[in-house]
Amino acid sequence: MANISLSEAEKTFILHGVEEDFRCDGRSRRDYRPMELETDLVSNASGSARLRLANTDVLVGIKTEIDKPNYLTPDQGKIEFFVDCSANAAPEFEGRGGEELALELADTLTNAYESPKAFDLKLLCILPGQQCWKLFVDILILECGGNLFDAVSLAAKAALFNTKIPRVTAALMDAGEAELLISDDPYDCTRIPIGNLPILVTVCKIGDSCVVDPSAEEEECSIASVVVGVSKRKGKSYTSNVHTIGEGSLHKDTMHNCVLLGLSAAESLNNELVKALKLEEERIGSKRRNIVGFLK
Amino acid sequence: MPPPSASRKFMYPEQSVPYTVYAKREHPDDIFAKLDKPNELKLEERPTFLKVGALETVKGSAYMEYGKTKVMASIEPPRELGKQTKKIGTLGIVTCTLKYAPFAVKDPACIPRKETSMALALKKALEPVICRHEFPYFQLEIKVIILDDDGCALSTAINCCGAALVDAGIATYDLITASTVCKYKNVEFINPSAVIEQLVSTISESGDDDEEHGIVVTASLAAVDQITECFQKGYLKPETLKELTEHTLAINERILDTVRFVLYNKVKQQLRKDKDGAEMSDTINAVTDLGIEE
Repeated sequence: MANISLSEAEKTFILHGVEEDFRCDGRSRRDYRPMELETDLVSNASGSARLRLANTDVLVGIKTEIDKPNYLTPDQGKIEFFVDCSANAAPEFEGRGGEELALELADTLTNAYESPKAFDLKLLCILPGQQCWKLFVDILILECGGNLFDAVSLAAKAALFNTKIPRVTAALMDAGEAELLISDDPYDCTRIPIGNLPILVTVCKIGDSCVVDPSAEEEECSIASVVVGVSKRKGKSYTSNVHTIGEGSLHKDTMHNCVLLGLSAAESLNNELVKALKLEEERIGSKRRNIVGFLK
Repeated sequence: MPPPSASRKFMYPEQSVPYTVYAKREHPDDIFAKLDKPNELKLEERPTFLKVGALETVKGSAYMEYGKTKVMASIEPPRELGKQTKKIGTLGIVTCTLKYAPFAVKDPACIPRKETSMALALKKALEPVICRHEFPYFQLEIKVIILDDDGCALSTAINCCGAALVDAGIATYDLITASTVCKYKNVEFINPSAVIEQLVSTISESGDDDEEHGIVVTASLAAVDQITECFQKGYLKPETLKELTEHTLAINERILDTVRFVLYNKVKQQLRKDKDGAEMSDTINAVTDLGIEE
């Protein structure tokens, strides 16, 4: 994705490393790079998170607004994903250069969140047919170091965990139109249950083996990858979205192996994420920290 | 609501809703009960009509009817890219545009999202099959219009583009075919219709907890045994996903026979025409020769 030029020799080096199950940075094929996650750092958003996965940097802000529900689904709220590839991340994102990648990322997230078993939009309904919450998930890509799909989905999930939807205390009916009263107390709010929210795992095929969490260099060596959206429900993993990316094709057995690898990686990743989020909340609680800046 | 893309072309009122909103809506379970469910699993394609070279004005085109789904694909000859383009590589660039006719679906509000996501999926499916190294620094434009959508729109579009690519004389590694399978309430539907696709996407949460639902589209190359694109949406266990993928691959082979048959006939027809044409021109030449001698 980021424009990195590698020579044939460098590519062969990476390929051999993957074959030996010993990648350039010392990881095995099933290891992730270290991550840094921070929530609640954008003061104007209802929920926010910043995730740094080695060199990939993603900032997610969530805004909640009141909207009219769709006439086909009067008892459901709305969620919309928007990805912006900043030109800071890579020079080729300048102008409309990042549009295609941004669309693909947003589309994958929308597909993964579409099933009501993964994300129940009924929770966002205020008055059926009249008022509902609309969540705008704005994702900003600050730096591109490979494996954008995973980073974006993790950050989105963390930001949704952090989102506080104000509690609606009263709804007055005035001439058939509903009038809402929002609670005065800024701490009186509801949270979004994140138990079933899907995360995405990219499984990258390099040579004959599959790896998770490819770095930007490794992505250059691969011609086909599979993005697996995994949602956990009652201890079982389900795929909520699977699609192939890259310009190559796969054998059906490879494809199935990739999905299985993605599922097992997603399971441990998901556990760690939930653990980290709970830990952060316990330590900081509702105290407002002094937020300095995003870039370190 | 008018489809945003069409608002300039057609004078819809700005804030209108389809009248069906006010009709009594059936419960999804009732719709499901009314559907004729397959008794046994038959891995067959729908009745198919395929015409290669349906348009005269473009390099290659195809028109396909897959049951009631109707799709037209056209391919422009490769065009050279301007020098200022940053995307320089040794491989040609493929761009896909997919448009829905405003009357193709019941609810036009979903058209913009379908258009962008299907165009992306179509591009990913077709890129691996085209010999892109044959036209470096060139751009190949593939245009698809969906005239009527009764389910399986994406897979039909891929099939149609595969045939159109052959008609356009673009070198490909293999013939590409695709098909759709979906699962809803433990019943598997091969080539789901628009009603079933709608049911799958508007499933209600209050159901059996272990229930799966989802839709799988797979595009494959039979000769080299490769999947170029696999797209799944919904909520499926990995085993089910594998099973559904196997089923789509089996249908793909059936569709491949149809496409191959049509292309074969087209070539035969072309050869016959060429032969007739050659004979005709021979006689014309002979006549003119005679004329000169006289």
